[in-house]
Amino acid sequence: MTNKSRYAIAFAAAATLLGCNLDKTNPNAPSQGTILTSRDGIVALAVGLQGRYATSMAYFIYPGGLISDELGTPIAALQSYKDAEVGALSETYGVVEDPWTTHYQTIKSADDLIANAPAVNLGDQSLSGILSISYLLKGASLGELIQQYQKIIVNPRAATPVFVDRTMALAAVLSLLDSALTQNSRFTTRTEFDGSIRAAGFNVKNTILAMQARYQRMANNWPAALAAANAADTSVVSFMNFSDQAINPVYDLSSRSSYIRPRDTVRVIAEPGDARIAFNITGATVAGTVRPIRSFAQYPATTSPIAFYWPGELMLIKAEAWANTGQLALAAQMVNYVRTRCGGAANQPKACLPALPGSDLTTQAQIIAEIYKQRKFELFGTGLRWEDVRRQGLVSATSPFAKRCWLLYPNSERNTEPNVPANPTDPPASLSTCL
Amino acid sequence: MPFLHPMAYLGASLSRPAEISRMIRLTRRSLFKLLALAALAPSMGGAQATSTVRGRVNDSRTGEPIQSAQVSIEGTQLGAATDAQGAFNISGVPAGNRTLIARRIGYSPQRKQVTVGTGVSDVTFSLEVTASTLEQVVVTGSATPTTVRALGTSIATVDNSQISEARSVTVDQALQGKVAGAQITQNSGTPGGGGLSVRLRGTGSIISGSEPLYIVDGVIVDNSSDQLINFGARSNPQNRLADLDPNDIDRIEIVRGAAAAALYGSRANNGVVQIFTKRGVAGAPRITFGTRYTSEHLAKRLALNLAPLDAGGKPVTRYDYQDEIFHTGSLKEMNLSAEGGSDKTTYYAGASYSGEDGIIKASSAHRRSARVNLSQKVFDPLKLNIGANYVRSEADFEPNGESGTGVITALLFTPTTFSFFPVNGIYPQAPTGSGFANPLAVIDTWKAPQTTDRFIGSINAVYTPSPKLIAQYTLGYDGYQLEADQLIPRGTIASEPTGYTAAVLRNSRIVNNDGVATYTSKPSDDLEFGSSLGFNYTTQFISTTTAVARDLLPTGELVSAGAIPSAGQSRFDLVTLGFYGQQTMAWRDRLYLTGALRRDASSTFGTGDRWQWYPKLSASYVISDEPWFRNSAIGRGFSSLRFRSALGYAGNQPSIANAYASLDSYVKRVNNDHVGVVNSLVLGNDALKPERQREVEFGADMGFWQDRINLEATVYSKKVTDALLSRPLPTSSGYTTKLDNIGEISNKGFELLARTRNISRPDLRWTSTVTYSRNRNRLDKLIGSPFTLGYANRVEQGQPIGYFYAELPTFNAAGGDSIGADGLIVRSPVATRVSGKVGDPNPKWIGSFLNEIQIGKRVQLRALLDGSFGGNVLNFTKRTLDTFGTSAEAALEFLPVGDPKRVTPGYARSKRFFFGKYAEDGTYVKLREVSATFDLAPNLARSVKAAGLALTVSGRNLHTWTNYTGFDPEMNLFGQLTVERGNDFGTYPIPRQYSIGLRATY
Repeated sequence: MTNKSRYAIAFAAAATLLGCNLDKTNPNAPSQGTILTSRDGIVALAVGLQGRYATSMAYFIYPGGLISDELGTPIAALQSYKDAEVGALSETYGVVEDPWTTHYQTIKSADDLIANAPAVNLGDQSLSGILSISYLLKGASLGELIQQYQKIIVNPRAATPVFVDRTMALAAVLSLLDSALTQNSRFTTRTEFDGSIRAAGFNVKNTILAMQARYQRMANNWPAALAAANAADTSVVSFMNFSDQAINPVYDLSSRSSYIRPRDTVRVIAEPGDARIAFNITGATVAGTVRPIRSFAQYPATTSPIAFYWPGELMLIKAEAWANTGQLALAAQMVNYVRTRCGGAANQPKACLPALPGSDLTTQAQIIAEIYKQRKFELFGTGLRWEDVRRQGLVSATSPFAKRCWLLYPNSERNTEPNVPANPTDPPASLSTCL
Repeated sequence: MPFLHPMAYLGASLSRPAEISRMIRLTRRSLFKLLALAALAPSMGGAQATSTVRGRVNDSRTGEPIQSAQVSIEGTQLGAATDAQGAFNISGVPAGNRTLIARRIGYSPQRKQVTVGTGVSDVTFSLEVTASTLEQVVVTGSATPTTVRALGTSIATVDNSQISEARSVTVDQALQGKVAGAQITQNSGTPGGGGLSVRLRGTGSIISGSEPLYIVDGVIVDNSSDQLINFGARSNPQNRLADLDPNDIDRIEIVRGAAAAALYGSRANNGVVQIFTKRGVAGAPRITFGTRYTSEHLAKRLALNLAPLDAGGKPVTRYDYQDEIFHTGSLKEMNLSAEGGSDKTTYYAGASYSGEDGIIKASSAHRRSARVNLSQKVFDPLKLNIGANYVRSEADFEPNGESGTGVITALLFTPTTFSFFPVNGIYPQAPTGSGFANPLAVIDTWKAPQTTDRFIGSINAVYTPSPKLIAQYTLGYDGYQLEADQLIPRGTIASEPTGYTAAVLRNSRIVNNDGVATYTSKPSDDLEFGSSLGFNYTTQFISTTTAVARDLLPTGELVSAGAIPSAGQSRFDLVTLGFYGQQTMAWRDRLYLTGALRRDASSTFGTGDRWQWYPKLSASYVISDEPWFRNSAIGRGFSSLRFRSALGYAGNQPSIANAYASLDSYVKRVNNDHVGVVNSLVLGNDALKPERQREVEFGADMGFWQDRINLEATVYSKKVTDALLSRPLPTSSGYTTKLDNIGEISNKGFELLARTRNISRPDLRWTSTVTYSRNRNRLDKLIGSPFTLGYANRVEQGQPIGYFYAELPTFNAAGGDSIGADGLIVRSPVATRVSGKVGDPNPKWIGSFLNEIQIGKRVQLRALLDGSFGGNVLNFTKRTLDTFGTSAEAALEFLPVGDPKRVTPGYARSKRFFFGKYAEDGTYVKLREVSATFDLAPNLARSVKAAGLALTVSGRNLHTWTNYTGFDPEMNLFGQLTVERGNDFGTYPIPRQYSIGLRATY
C-alpha cells in the first residue's frame, strides 16, 4: 500500500468524523431561542397567547357553572362532572386541574412576551399592541383563577412562587390591567397588529375597560368600577372568534360531546317573556344527573364566538356602583334599562322585560337584590355566577346555589410545588361568603 | 476518499466552535495513534521472507471434510477459512517455526507446529467434536475476534444450523428458546413475524425501549415497530428485523448486558445482537435450492356463548364467527443460494421468497430478498468485504385488539345472536356503536397494505500490514422506505360514513462508520498483549409523512380520491459519536485480563452532559489448564473449568422520538384566523443524559467427562441509574412535564446453559441443550407518583416494572368475594375502593430443552421445548366476553333455574371491575420446534442432478401446555412496548404450523 492510499484512508476517516455535528436543531418545532428573539417568533407567540386564552375561557365557564346552579351533565359515567355538581371534588379531577393549567399556560405565554418583546425590533405600534394584550390576558387569567381558587400564584416566574390571597391577587390583576390600558392608549390604530396579530372581533380597549370594571367591582372600589364602566363603549361586543382549526372549546364540551350542558332551571325561575332564556338555552329537556338539562343556544357550531364580556355586565356594574354610593335613582334607572333592552343586533342577551315599578326599586336593598337577579340571567354561562353566589353569602353544603367555596388545589401542583397551601375547609358549615 | 458514502448529509454544517475544537482534539488524538501504528507496520513485517501454508481439516470421527473451519497462525492476524472440501490456503506467512490452529464451532480446536520455509507447507487437521465452547471465536463486545476463553463475559452464539432448523420466517423467531437470559416472545400471529420482543436479562428502561441493538455485518440496523396505522395494538404487528432472510445468516452473537457491551456505549443497555451473514467459502460453486410449504392452523378457539336459549328461555340462533374469520393459512418459501470462490475472492449470493397467508382471512405477508456478499483480497495486506442486501416486504394486515374495527374484537363485543352476514350485498352495521365495524365487511372490503423497500449495505476494509497489526474500517448503510396505507370504503362503518383513507410514508436511514486498529505483541512466551483503538460514528434519520382523506369517491382508494384531505410531517435525526480503547493481556493462554474505555456522545443529550465515559474490566481464568489443578483430586473431575468475571458500564439513549428532548420547543397554536406558537407543555432538559447501566457478572464454564457435559453458569446484577421518565412539573409554570433522568432499575439473575453429548457414536449421535434463566426486576427509585400504563401495568417504586395493579373486590369473612343479595360481586363505594397488586407479567423463570439426534448418516431428528413459568397474563379477551355476555361462562346464566351449573345472570359481567379476576397464570411450555430431516439416497439425488437432497418434515408451535384460557399466553397486545407486557385482548393468535421442505445442493 502506498503512502498516498494510506493518507487517503486517514483523510476519509477524518473527514467523516469532522463532518459530524452534535448540535441538532429540531425541524418539527422551533426552539425557544428562535421564538423569543425574532420578530416572527414574537408575532406568532402573540397569536398563540390569544389561542391559549380562548381555550381557557371554557375552563372558567364550566367548573364554576357545574359547582354553582348553571350547568349539569347528562352522563352519570362522567364521575368528575357529576361529583362537581354536588360539590364533591377530588384533586385529580379535570374540573380541578384544567382551570389551573390552562390559565397558567396563558400566563406563561404572556410572560414570555412581556419579558422578550421589548428587545425585538417590532416597531412601537406592534410592540404596544402585543404588550397590551399580554398584560390584559395575564390579568384576566389571574382574575379568573382567583374566582376559582382561594389563593393563587401571581408571579409564577419567580424563583420561589408564593401563593397570595384574594386582596393581593386583585391588586395584581388591576395593576396589570392598568399597564394594558397604558400600552393600548399609545395608538388608536395599528396596521400590523390589527391586521395579522389581534383576532378579528377582539376589541382590546373595551375588553381592558370591562375587565377593570369587573375586578374593581370585585375589590369593592365603586368609583373606579364606575369610571371604567363609563369609559367603555357599551355599544360594542368584544368576541373571541373560532375556526375549524381552533374550535370553540365550550362547543366541544357541550354541543359536540354533550358532556356539560346548561340546566333547565334558569328557564323555570325566569320571569315569563325573558328573552335571555332563548338566547342562552335551546333544545329538548333531558335528564341530568342532578337537574334536567338542555343545550347551549349560543354555541351551535365549532366556530361560534365566545364574548369576553357582555355589555349588560357593564350596565349592571354601573347600577351596582351607584346603588352602593347612594345614587339610588340612577341605579334604579339603569336596572330598568337592562330589563327593558330589546331589539337591535342579536349578538348579546337582552331581557325585553317590562320595567319594574318605582316601588320595587326604592331601597338600596331592593335595587341590589334586583341587580343580582338580573346578573343571574344577563351573565348566564359566563362563569361569573359562582362569584356572585359567594358575594351573596349563599354557599353551604346544602345550598341549591353552590355547595363549595373553592376548587381544591390540583394534584399536579400539590405533588410538585412545596408551597401549595392546605385546601380550605369546604363546604362551609353554614351559609357563607367564603371570605 | 475511497470509503466515503455518497450520502452528502454526512458533511452537515458545524455550528459550535467549542464543540468542534473538542471533537477535533479527540479525533486527532485517536487518529494519530491509529496512523502511528499504521506507519510502523511495514518496518515490522515487510522485510521478512514469507511462504504459503495450506492443508485440510477433517472430522476425526467420520473423516468427512469440515467446511468453514478457521485456520490461523497464532500470534498473527493471518488466517483462512476452509472450503467445502475442507481445504485452506494461507499465504504471506513469515518464515520460521509457526503454530497453526484450526477451529470450528462444535469441535475442539487443534494446534499444529509447522516450520515455514521457502516451499509450500502442507498440514492436515483432524478435529474432535466437543460440547465445550471455550475455543469458539466471537467478535461482539471486543475490538477484535477473540476466543471465548479469553472473555470475562458470557456471549451466546447461535450458528446457522440452529437458525435454519427453526424453520421460522424471521431471524428473531429463530432465536426463541436458544439463548439463556433472553426472553423472546412473539406478540401476535400476524403474518410476517407477528412482532417479536427480545428482553435480554430483563427490562432496563421504562420509556426508552428495551429491545437490544441489532448489528448485521457491522451495520447498525433499524428494528423499529412504530405504529403508523392503527391496527388496534399500540405497536406495529411487524418489527423491521422481519426484513432479514434467516437463510442468509451464518451466525448470531448475543451480548446480554453492559459488562460485555461497554464498547457500544450509549446504545448498549439492552444488549447487542450481532448477526453475521454467510460470506461464502472458497471452492467450486455450491448451489443450494430450498423450498418449503407450511400449513397454518388456529391452535385454540375462544369459548363463546352458544346457549340455545335466550334470557327469556326462547330458542335463539347464535353465531360463532370464528368459523368465518379464521381459515387454514399457508406459508410458501423458496430460496436459492450460490457460494464459492478462490483464495483471493469468496462470494455468497442468495435470493429468497416467502409468502404467508395468515390464519385470519385477508391477512398476508410477502418478502422477496436478495443478497450478495463478496470478499476480495485487493492486494496482500488489504481485504475488502462488501455486502449488499435488498428486501421488499409487503403485508396486508387486519385490525384486531383494541380497535373497535378489529375482526377478533368484534367477536368479543357483539352478542352472539347478531348476524353480520350481508343482506342484498349490504353488511349490517355492528350493533355495538358507531366505532365498531362488521368483521366480515372488514375482511371483505377493507385494505391495509404495507410495503417496505429496504437496502442494507456494507463495505468493510481489513488492512493487515504486518502479522501484528490489523486495522479495519466499516461503512454501513441501512435505509428503507415504508408505506403503510389504510382504506375504509364508504358506508362500511358508522364512524366513517364517507370512507377514510390514509397513507403514511416513513423514510429511515442509519449510516455508521466504524474504525478499529489492534496491535498484538508478545514480549515473552508467557505473555501476549493486544491494544486496540477505535471509533464509531452513526447518524440516524427518520421522516414520516402522513396524508389522510375522507369523503371518498365510491371506488376511490388513494388519498387523492378524497374530498377532505389533511397531512402531517415529522423529521428526526440523531448523531452518535464514540471513541474507545481496549487493552488485553493473556498470560500462558490461561489468564486473561481486559480493560476498555469508551468516550461517547449523542446529539440527543444536553450540551453539558453529552460526553460520557463507559469503562469495562474483565478477567477469565482457565484454571483447568493449570497443571497443578489438572492433577488435583478436584481437577480430575473436570475436563475443563474456567472462571470469569466482568464489570462494565453502558448507556441507553431515549427513543428517536425524543431526539430533541434537550431543547425547549414551541409548537403550533392556531387562533381564529392566525397561526401562532406557544411553548410545548414538555419542557426541554438541557441536562438530559443517557440511562446508565452498571453490570457485574460472574460465571464458570465447566466441562465433565471429556467435555461430554458442558455447563455455563452466570450470575449477574444490572443496575440502571438515570432512567428516563417524564418528571411532572408544577403546572403553574406553564409546563406539565420534562424528560428527566430520575429512575433506578435493577435486574438480578442467574443463567444456566447445559450441553450434553448423550450418545456419540459414528451411527448415532444424540445431543441435548438445556437453558434456564431467572431474572428479578425491580424499580428501585421513582420520583413522582406511581402510574399505570396500558390497562394495569404499574410503574411503582419497589416493585417489578409493569406488575398488574387493579381495583380489588371487597372480601367476605372467609376471604372470598363479597356477594350481594343479587348474587353479584359487590363493588365498594368510590371512597373505600382499594387497588392492589393482582399479578405480574414478568416470568419467574424461563427455560428450554433441545434434543438433536442423528441416526446414521441420513436421518436427523430434533425437538425444542420452550417455556415460561410463573408470569401472569391479563386476559382482557375473556373480560370483554364476560362483560358483554358473549363468553361461554355467560352462557351458563341462560340455564334453567335449578340447574346446578347455572350462574346468576349478570355474575360474569360483575367481575369486570376486578382485573385480578383475569390475571391468569401465563405459565406455558411450547413444543416450539420439531423436525425430521432425511438425506435422500444419493441415486435419488443424482436423478435430479443434485449432489445432495434432503427432505424435512417439521412443525412449529405444535402444542402448548398451559392453564391459560385464552388463545395463547405468549402474545402481547402492546407489541414491543416496554412496560405494557402480558396483555391479551383480541390479539391475532399464533398459528400452529406443519411444514414439508426439500433442499437440494449442487
